[in-house]
Amino acid sequence: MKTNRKPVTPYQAIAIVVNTIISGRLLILPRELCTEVGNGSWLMIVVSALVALVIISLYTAVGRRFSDSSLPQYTVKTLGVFGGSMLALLFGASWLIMASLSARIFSAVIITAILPRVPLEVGILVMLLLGAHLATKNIATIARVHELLLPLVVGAIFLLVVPSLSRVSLWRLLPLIEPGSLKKLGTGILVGSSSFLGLEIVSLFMPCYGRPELAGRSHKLGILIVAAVALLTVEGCIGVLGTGTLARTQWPTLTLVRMISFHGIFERLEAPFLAMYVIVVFTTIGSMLFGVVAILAQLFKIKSQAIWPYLLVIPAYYLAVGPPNVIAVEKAGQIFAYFRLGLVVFTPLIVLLVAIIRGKEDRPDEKQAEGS
Amino acid sequence: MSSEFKKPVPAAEIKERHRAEQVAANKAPTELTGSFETDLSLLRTLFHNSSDLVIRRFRLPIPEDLDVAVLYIDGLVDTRVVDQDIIQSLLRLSRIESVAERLKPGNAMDKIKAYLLSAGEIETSSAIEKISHTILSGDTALLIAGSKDCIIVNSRGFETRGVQEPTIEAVVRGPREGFSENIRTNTSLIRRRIKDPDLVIEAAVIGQRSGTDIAFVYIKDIADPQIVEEIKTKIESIKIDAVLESGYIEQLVHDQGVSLFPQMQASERPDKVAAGILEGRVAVIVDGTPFVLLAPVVWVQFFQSPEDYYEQSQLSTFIRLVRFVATAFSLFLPGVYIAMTSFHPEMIPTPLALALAAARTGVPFSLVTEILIMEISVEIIREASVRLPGPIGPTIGIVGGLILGEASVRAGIVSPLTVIVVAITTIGSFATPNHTTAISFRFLRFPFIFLGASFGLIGITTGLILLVIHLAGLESWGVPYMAPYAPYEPTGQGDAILRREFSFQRTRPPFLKPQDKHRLPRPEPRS
Repeated sequence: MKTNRKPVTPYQAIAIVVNTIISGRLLILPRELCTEVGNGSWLMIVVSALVALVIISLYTAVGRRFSDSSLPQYTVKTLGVFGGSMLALLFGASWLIMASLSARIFSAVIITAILPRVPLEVGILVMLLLGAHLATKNIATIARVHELLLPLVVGAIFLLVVPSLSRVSLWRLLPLIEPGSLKKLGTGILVGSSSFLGLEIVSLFMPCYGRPELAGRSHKLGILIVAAVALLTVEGCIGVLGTGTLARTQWPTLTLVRMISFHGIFERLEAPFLAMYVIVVFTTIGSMLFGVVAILAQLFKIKSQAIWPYLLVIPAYYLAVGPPNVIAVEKAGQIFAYFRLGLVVFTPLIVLLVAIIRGKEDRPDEKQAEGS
Repeated sequence: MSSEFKKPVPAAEIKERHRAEQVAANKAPTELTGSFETDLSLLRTLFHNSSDLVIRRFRLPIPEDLDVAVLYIDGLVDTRVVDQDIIQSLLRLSRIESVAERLKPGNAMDKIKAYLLSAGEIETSSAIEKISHTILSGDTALLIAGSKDCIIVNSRGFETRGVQEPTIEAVVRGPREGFSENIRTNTSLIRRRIKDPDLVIEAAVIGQRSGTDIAFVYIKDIADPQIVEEIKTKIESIKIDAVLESGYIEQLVHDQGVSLFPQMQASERPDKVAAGILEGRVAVIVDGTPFVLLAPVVWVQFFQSPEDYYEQSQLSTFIRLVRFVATAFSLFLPGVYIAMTSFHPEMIPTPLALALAAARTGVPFSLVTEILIMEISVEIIREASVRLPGPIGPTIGIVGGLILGEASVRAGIVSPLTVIVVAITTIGSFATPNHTTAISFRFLRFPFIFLGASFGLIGITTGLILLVIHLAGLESWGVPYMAPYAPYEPTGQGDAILRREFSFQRTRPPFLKPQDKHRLPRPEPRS
């Protein structure tokens, strides 16, 4: 059976961006932002979204220049075999850590909120195995999974955050910018931008885009959707809980959900909310593990990816159970996020610069561009 | 005096007979030899002197006697054709002098075809395999002395079931005709609906022993030639001894690993198959079964019924949504019920939770056991009512459903709500128009019960994710199974979960890559 080499459609590209970025982080993002900048959080998200738009444009530009290569291939092409491979492996390692941290945080949420009798390790393993299962599939399947789950990811968050908006007190949102909070603008933007991490995954999917000329549009749209979801969640949390309470709430989004009820049908909604949230976290972990698999497969020229991605669960599991408690995980996550942000921002810059200086690029294949 | 003595058999003929027996005994030749006696005994040995093989020898009195033999299988042929159009017409017409004059032993074959046979469809062949296959399919072979070829006359006329109302895919509005077991009847049912010379019906034979006739039906200038070619080569390359039903083909061409979801759609409705062919699909008709296969298929197709197109689009959309909800119930309801009551009781409104607890007091089993007891009994009842002869079937349904449910509640084995949940689940599973998919979903609800019982709603979502990954990975002849949703195709949305008005379905489904894309002409711009 002839397989399409460029199966990813523009709509799937949006889904990949949105699903990968929106993760368990959204459960704690309102608190993180609020402790830094208080009521000015909305501004941080807007600015961070702009930053994210710039970063993703860098990836789009690199991807357009190297139309047939993914991240490990173009880092090797521009920075040499050793430097390129090391950089790619760094990306792989960061995704592996990201996947295990997400699994740990979400598993902690689940066992605290709805399944107190299930061991933490089981939750972590289930999430990691689900992600690894996705990583064994081919790129067309992964893109379709993202596409099918996108309405559930976005819909779930909207459906559960929007009803709670009726409890928003507008005065809690005021003043729009707290005096003095702008001093912390830098940290705020760092926290905000790191919540858009995951967007670098497009570097692996771009060579498979059926219509690369629409890549920029899909990516930007994806970032805007994420920004809208984040803005809604953060403002919802501030409006309902107020900045004071918010700074002391472990999982503010969950608290927000707890407050709503559809009288007569469901009394409390955190169980279905977290059940839907499994999908949100799964898409992130799946993308991350797929990234690790893709990088290893391309660097070490492994053809089949039927079984071995499951082996990634072993290191990821030990990384996830390493930190002693949720607080430690969050701290580690924050430091790790800054490191990752640096990696994600500077890699495309360096690659683009070197590529321009050394005149490296993939010659676009005219026929394929027309045939798709 | 002369009648007392037998005419001596010439030595040459004895030799020839002897040789013929040897040839037949030694090896199985692939071609007729051209010697009348040899060929006759060859064919006779081929069929192992089977009792239903009829060999009728006679001679045509044209200038010199010409040996002729008719071979057919009793019961497969229309005896009227054999008697009147072959034997009688040969014997009668050969007496006409003007015909007899033209016949010489050398050209007997051509002249008999030209002047003496009144049967409609004839062909000639000398390949033994072909001759034996056609005889076994109900044709009559006409062997003529001195000719290497043999004439095959179409005389098929065995008993078949007529065109009857389809039993599995019933509709309220729509034609009442269903396919039958005869491949010719089935092709004619399609032909009558699509009177287009571009409708191609290509024949093939599969199954080394069963020699089953199959036919590929598609419209030449609509169906994607690549898909057609792939379907044909793949099905023709099947190596199996016998194909007794189209389900054999459906499973043998399945190349996506383990999957409960079929890659071809079986239907016994000619209108449905015709609609599929018109969209650009290929139909595969298998002789001996009323179930015709359609390929490629997509997932939403299994929720569509031909009736949807005969009713108002809004009503059809509503009914389709009902089917999806019903399927979702049949898949998730027991699992979600267990998850909610055992893991997340805080979700349920307090009065209902109290009622549930009250209903369950005295029930000795855990909720999972309770559900499993009921689900398995329902499956048993369902299977039993299928096996029972027609009139008794519904009785068992009522006895099983009503009495068993009522009695088990009274006996305190299960709670009333469990009976309600299981009943809705079962009824929901019957709302899926496609039988195979309905069974798949019924089967899949058991994993969901176990997931729900182990991890609550989280388990249900886990199962859902696995199902989505599986479905997203499936392809049917290169067409993604979840099209037109993944990959999303705006033009395919007119007829997927929604059934829009025909004016919204101007194009054929894009994922089938039809050559002729338009179903309706473009609207003329208003002036």
